[in-house]
Amino acid sequence: MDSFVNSLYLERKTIACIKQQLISPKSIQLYHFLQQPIFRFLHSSLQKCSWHHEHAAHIHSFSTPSTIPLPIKTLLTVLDSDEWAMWLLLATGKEVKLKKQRLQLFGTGDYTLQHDIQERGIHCMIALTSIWGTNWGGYTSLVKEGKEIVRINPIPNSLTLFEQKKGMASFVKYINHRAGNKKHIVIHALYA
Amino acid sequence: MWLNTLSGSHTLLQWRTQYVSNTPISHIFLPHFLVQKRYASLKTALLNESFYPKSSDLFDLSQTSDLRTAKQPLLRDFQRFLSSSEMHELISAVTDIKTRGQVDAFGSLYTDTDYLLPHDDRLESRKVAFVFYLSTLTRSDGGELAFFETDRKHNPTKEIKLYRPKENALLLFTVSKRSWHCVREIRKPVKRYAIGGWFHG
Repeated sequence: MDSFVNSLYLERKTIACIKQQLISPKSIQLYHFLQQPIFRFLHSSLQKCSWHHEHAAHIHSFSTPSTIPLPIKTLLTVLDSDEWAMWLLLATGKEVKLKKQRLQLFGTGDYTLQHDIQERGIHCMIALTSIWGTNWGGYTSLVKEGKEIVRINPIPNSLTLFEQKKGMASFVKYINHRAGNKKHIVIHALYA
Repeated sequence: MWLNTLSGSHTLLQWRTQYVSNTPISHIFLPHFLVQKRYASLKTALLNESFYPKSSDLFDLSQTSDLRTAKQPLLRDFQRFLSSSEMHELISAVTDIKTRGQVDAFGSLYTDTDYLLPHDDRLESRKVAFVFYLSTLTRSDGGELAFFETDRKHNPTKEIKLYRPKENALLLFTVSKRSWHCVREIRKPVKRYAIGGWFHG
């Protein structure tokens, strides 16, 4: 884990601040989360991927990799490690296990909807995107009773944590034509 | 008078035949729907009405309030006309569906990057949906209404028919488990105005 993650986020003081943020406003986004050379390496490994488009028009539209590149697989292993579970315990105050994780690619015309399968727990998203415009869509929205309570923008090399509780739903906002051929690639892990 | 003169029962029969035979769901697209002068006045009224932005997972667009409470009197008149026995008889003649009562009607405005993702409109007593267009868009503008093919579980599979917005045209379709449709994203700095809603039964 310490060969991937920016050492700043491994300091106890920092983790304590993260925990405080997660109480209110219920989410936190950590910038430059991965060490920069690691992030660049992971990002370039994705360029050689072939992607399979999953489209159920009434639920979602995004792509998943036909084969996960080895560097990404290594990161996924870190997110399933005891070390990471300990970090999450310190950061969230919750003892959780990995339920599922997936690598997703969103491009122009892609989205997920609120009535896609909604899963409660701690959501952990690592944005492997290299560049993203704020008016392109693609952000993750957490809603409760029809109102947005958290919005997570795709910031390159960020880690976002939020807890989805009962009565909450989340979705990835439709990506509009301004994104052109840019892609938002994210590792999305769920812990409960 | 609002409607362009119909040619009597022969036209209605043609429309009915088209409506029931169109796929993937019963629908019809009727150009030159209103008398031109009335259309022009209606458009002016709509452009002077207030629109409110709306955003969710399913859409980005702007809408007026229900036309029953519109500030522009002509919009209130138009809503009353839609709810009139004349219109209900026309709807019944074309769709073979009996509708009655007040019609829900809202003005909508889509601009660059606005969209409406696939949905089937099913709610309460909605029987026939309508979209009356007050803009003409080109292919590169986007903004088409797209109907979807559905599978055996009535889930949408792929877009199968497109209607590009054309001024003074009315689109009608039956609301059902199969009436999946969307408004494709607007891709240029253009404005797509329409009045849409539902006839109830």
